[in-house]
Amino acid sequence: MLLERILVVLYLLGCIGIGIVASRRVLSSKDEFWVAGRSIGTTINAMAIMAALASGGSIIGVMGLAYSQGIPATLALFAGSILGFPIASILVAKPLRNFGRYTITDFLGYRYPSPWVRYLVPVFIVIAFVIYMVAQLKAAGITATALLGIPYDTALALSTVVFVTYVSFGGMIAITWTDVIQGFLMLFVVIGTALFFMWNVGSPLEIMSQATEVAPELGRLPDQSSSGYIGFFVIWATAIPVIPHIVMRVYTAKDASSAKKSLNLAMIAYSAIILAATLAIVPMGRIDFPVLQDADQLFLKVMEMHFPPLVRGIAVAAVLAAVMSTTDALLLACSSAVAHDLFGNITKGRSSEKTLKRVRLGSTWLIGLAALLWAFSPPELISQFYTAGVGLLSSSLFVPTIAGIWWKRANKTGGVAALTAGALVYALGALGLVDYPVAPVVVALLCSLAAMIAGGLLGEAETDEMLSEVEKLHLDQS
Amino acid sequence: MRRAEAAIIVFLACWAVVAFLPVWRTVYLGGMSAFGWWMAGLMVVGPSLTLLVFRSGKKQADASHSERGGEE
Repeated sequence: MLLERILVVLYLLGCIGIGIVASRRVLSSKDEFWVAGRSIGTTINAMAIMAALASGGSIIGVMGLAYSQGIPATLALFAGSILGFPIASILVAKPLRNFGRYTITDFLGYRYPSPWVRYLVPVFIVIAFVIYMVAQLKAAGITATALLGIPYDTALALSTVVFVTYVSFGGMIAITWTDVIQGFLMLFVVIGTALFFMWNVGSPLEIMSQATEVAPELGRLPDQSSSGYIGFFVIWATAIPVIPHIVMRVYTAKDASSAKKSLNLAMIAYSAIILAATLAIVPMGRIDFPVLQDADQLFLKVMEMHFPPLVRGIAVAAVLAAVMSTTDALLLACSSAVAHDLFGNITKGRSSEKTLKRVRLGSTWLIGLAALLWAFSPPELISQFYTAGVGLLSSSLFVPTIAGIWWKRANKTGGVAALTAGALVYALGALGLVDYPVAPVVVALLCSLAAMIAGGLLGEAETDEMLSEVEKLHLDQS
Repeated sequence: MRRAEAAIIVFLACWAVVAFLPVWRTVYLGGMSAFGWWMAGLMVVGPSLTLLVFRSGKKQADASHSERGGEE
């Protein structure tokens, strides 16, 4: 295991090095820290978006979920993201990039000027993203344990310290640089492994046929009601346009056109990873390992069985890359929710730059450590776990964001009502306090939409000045 | 929003609705239910179509921009 360990240590040191180099640049301004000076090119931004979304969940979790729940239900979850990208690219990217601030809270707080919106949105972001981070940390822990022989708790602590360090010092620039390297590493390992199996066995159709002969349940939908996988699909389709770590990437783009194109290219790379994992690696893994105690271990077992130490070392680095590229983006989004959205609103911009930096640094470490503590006793099936967390953001933010951009009648009353109704209805269903006939996210989105329409029609209309400002967001600004 | 962009969103939403029809859950191809293949298809068609429409829109925008530049 020496070679694998050396590779991983080199990789982790490289990430910290990038954070230190980036910190020299981000110290110069708030724009540099949160949105990398709005100077990221299209291809780099696309790779960073893909890496931010293709998490440990997408490599370890997608295979674990497909192994235990079957491939069709898993594809439903991830195909939701693919529908979400065109929605984000077409409906959200240009107006938000033209708005030109830092976070989704900035937009919602501007469009619906209420303290309720300015304080509640960052709180939802922190809750959902801590859940998301816990799942990612579990992926890092089990990978290091399985392939490097490092105890789970040590691996968790080590990877947390590394990514918190480079995020807290290097901000969005460090994240972008590391995400691009991590994105290429993920594409290389997952697609390379899938091509290896296709070279040896045949097309995905042949691989599927062989695997489903041994395990027919792999190709079937689980017995549970369809509401579960419809829910996964809807959560991701509506999350991508509003999820803060993707929205921040829209703000980092040079212009609106570059933001749109980055989302399109990211979507292609992300699809390739998910399809390679589900249609080639999972079926082969299922043939090799018919009974696994922890389904999330599948990819690691496959790597262990089929590849030499050098490739395994690269695979561990790729999984850590997947974990870190998402977790760092989540952490920066959480940190911005606390330092920029919450603290900035409370102090109303009166605090000094030095105080803001301290809050930024402190919140990054506190949130990272909170996720670490939770990850010591992790949940099973990480993809389902973090998708439930993301559902809170879809349910509460999707309708107010889209209506705020596209519906002239959208007003403060409607925005506050839609945000609150979506979050409340989803939370009641997701926590099992109310049993809905369909997936909680579907009910929550419908309630959020009804609240927006009622508020928009019955509440006080927005001023002409606001409507003219929103109208300007749709113009080409080159 | 351009008409082609609106059409893409409608097309992909319709694809999703058709994919979720119960009939596909019991039809199998290569050992996997047709629902799974519909979802896999969405993951190929969605990105390809969106990129094509983006590129054609960009070409149109560039052409009209250079025409306006010529007039000036």
